[in-house]
Amino acid sequence: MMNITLVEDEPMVAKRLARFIDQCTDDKTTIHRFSNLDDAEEHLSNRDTDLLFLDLNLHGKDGFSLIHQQLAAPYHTVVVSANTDRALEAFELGVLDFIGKPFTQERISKAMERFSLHQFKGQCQRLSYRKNNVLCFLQVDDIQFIQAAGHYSEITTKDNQTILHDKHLDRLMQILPQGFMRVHRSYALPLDEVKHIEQHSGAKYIAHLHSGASVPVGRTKFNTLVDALGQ
Amino acid sequence: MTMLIWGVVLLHEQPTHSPTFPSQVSILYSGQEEVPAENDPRWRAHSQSDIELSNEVRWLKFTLAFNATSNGSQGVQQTESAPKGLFVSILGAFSVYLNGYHIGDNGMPATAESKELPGEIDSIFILPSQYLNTGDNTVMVRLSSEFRPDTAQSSGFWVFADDFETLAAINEWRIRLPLMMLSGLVLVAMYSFVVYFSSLKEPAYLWFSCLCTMLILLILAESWRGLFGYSYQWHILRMEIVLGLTLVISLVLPLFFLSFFRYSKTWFISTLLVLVMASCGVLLYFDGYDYRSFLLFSVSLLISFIFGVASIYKRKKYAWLMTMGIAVFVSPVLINRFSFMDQYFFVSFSGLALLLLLVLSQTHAERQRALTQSTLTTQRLQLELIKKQLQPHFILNTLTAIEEWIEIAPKEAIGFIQALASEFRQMASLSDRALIALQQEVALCESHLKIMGYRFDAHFSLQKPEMSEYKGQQLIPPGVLLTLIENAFSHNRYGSGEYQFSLSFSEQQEDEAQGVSVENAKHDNNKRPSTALLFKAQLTQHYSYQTSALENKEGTGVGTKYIKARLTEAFGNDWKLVEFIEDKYWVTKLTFPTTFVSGEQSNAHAEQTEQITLQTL
Repeated sequence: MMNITLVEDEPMVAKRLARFIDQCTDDKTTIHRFSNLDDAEEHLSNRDTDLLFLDLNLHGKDGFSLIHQQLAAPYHTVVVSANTDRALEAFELGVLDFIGKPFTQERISKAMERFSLHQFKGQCQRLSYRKNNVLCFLQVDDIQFIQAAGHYSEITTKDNQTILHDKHLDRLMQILPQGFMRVHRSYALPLDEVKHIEQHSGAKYIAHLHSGASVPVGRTKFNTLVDALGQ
Repeated sequence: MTMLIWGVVLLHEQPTHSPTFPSQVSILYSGQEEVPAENDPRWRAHSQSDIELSNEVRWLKFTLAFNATSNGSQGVQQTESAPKGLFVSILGAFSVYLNGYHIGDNGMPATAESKELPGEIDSIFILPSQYLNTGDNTVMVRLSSEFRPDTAQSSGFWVFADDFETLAAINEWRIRLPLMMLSGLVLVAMYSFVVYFSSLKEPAYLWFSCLCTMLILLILAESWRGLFGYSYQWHILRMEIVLGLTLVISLVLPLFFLSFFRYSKTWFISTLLVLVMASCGVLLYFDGYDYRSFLLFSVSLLISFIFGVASIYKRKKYAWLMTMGIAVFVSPVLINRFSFMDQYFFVSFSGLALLLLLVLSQTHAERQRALTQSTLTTQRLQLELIKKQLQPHFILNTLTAIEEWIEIAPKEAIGFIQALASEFRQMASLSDRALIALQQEVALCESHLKIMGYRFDAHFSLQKPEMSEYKGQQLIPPGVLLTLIENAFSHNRYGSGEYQFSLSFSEQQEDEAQGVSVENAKHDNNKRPSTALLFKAQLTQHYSYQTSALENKEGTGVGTKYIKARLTEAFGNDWKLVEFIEDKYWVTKLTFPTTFVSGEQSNAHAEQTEQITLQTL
């Protein structure tokens, strides 16, 4: 069961994109097509979208501000654009994928694969989030640890601020770069924050961080964490 | 530069010497050939400045006082080491006697037996030291003026004594500066002339060339005396030539300034009238050649200066520079009126010439810049038009759409590719022109709409007015209507469906324009008929035309910038672009001068029109 929203102003391109997506997903996937973001806004705010394919003319000045807004949303964003020269910049902002036009079936399938991979490592350097409906940014390097909070994620920064992000922890992990690790069902952290790991009775593990905070480590994650830290 | 000129003027003081001027000039009306006695009772005291001229021989007598103290301590002894000389200039032939001894002749005054042999205008005699006394010396001159011109009733008697060498050098001193200027002026005159006929068709340069030529003639006329000398009967003729040339220069100088500051013909004629009247007044009511020259020139300078100041007030270009030029270069006249006319005038004028050359070179540089700029603009606009079709957004979206058509309906895909090829072909042939026929522009728009139809899987059409031969041949910059269509696509959200754009001539405006042009034809020949085109683009539910653009004339979009640049390139400021919303349409009203491919009605853009005629032929 997956909800995909597609925003593309050129009907022929939208048709083609929808066709390709349809071909690499199962029957339970629904695709909603919109010709522009304004029309899609209401639909996107329902929170049932998992993935947004967004056509952007990045040549204009407001293309990137539109990306910023989408990246604060709970769903993942795949940018489809003719302007591929700014792809790296988009990745650093946390797009799940960036597809140049004209695109092939294979390329669309690859994007869909990327979406379903939980261990995928992204290249995000800067997270967009909304705070009192104002778009804000957080440098990925400033993250101390992240805790799942229902559909949301609660990010604790190095200066002990807490930020609520609309994306689920699973999705954040897909775009956060190498160095971040899921250490618990509800926790993730950057490896270089860990000072040492303490073992408690009953196979309970606690990771003590440089800041003095401590984060629980899942039993199944313990060995991987130790391995990762050992390297 | 001003410093330099002043330096030359100030340094050009004649060497310090103290000429000895005559005193007690008297006249004796007698044809006798032997030297009259000093105390002859017939001697009459006479003014030195107007000796009556006649065929009759008369004697002039004056005293030269060689004061021992004024000439150094040794008096006579000193004259031995540095021989004294006497400079004499009067209209006539004469013999000179010092203390009763004959010391020389200039020509030969008439005697009872023979007629007069005319003398030179300027002559210098050595005062032999053996005849020379310390203190008063009596000099007598036997004079006749048989060859005097009819107009010359009297003559000044210009005489003084000094070291002989100093006197011999006087003429050289007097002509040195004017001659220095001469060669420069010849070059400037020729240069201005060539500039006028080869590159800048500005009348100011022709006037300036004329001015320089007149000055060259004036310098020659002025310097002739010192350079070559002449016998006295030609003196009045030379003075008349000098006065005449001064008159011409006095007329041309203000006209040059009028022309330089681009005053109208009316100003030209009225100034000329005033000048002629003032000059007539000067010539009729004043006497003396030098004095009248000076007055003529002063009037001329005054008028030039007034126009200079008026131009400063009107903030004309270079007004400050030129007016300061007049003021600075002419001010030596305040120091010494006569030597100004003789010498400094030419130095000052050369300064003015230099200023003008400076202005000229700046004008040239500016023209060059403007030319380069306009070439750059044109090339940039051409590039912009091509770039529209090469933008990744356009090409890659189009390619994506083509891929889709190929997979789902190959036949349609072929149509799409053909439409694309057609637009590229048209673009290639139109992009390097400043103006194209309206028909061609419309055809380009239709190709583009066809492409957009394939891309959007929709139907776009352009409703166009009846394109008679006449209207279809009107000229418009390439890509202007196309840009309006592109703007419509970027500001609206056209989905699949039917959309119509419309292009029409604004009839009301056309009638009005014709009415105005007929009515104004009598008053204003500059008013040319104009064409008003109305372009309407259907607004979709969401449109992003910036309504602020309605109040704010500055279009900020890339497309609007392109349109404005193209119109400016083709029509200067003679166009208008108005945008507004009417019903459910975004309306763009474009007014620009009517020009035709056939060239029959075009005048201002004849050159461009011609070019296009050639290309369409």
